[in-house]
Amino acid sequence: MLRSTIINARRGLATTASPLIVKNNRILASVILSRTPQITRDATPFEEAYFDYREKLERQEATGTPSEFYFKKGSVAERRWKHEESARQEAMKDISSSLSDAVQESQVTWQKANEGLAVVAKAEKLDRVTEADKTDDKKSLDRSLKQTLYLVIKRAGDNVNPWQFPQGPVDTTEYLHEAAERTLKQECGVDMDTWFVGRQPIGLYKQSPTKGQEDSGVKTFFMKARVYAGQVKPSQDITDFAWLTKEELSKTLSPEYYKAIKDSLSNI
Amino acid sequence: MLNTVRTSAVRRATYSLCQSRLNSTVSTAPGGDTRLETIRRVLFEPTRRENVIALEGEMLEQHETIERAWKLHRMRLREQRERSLELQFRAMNAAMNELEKTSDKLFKGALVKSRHITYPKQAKIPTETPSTHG
Repeated sequence: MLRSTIINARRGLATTASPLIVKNNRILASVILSRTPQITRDATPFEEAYFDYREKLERQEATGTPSEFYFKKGSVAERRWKHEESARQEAMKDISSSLSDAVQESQVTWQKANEGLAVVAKAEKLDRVTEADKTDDKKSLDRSLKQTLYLVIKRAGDNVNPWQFPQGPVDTTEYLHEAAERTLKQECGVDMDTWFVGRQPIGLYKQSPTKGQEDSGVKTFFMKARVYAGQVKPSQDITDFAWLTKEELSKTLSPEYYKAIKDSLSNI
Repeated sequence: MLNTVRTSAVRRATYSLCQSRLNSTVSTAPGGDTRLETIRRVLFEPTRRENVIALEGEMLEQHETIERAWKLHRMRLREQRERSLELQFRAMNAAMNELEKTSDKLFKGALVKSRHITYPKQAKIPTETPSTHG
């Protein structure tokens, strides 16, 4: 008697979770997985001109730096600093050249003139345009570092929206954010370091049931998540995936789908 | 015994050295003595104030125009950002309203705040050049 109840209880716990259908609408949870911008945007010409204006104004008002305090008399560092100072003074009279540009140019000429001297260890700076930018590799997370990248997958079966965000049905046993996490793991693999931003959905896409058929309507709730490392490992259903910026999304997604989610995406 | 004698002798020697060095800075002799003067000047001399540019006459208009243009630019950027945020909020609001209508359980589950609210350490602000670690 006891054993049969235990067996029944165990079977009860292991019920197949059935997809949630409320008032003839299937509920789907989808994930908008985004990679935030990694580098700052370029300064507009007006901004650059303004920064230069302020810099030169400040320099006019400032007291000079006591070079005897900072540099030993007759040392290499002092000569280098004097070289940069003369470049800065030249740039003060010249409208087109900014102070920082002048300093950079003077550094280049200094390097050329004094190749024999011991070079101070310079910090390694990578290029702002990456390899992925040059090859336009849509699967790479290193492309277009100034903008946000969103993950979209291509599903074989769906003809209305071939490209979509990873989505899957919500079970009766779970909440939205749990469904979204599970869907992401199932469809895109576990190789990514992701973080879900809270439990609330950020967007909604409704598909009304096609009249005259037994099809149910669909409500897709989009959850927000961020990716920090790793790459997608697509599962069997998915034929293709890509990391796209917002403009590219507007061209790739179907117009209705894009209209539903475009407000939730950030403009940077 | 010997040690104490040595240390006291050393102490007397350094004391006399200090005295002689301090005495010598009174004169402006070249060499190492000017270092102290430089240090004193950098630390204590009040910064000259005559360099403050008097607000120019005709140039004042130009300066004010530039400043106004800058403030306008910043205002436009700020409003763009705020508009985008407002759109995001509206979309989220609509989604939550819809959720409330569809399923009570899901809605309550979405409203619950997690017990341990953590923010990932990997979330970094944008830098000027990409990270060397990839």
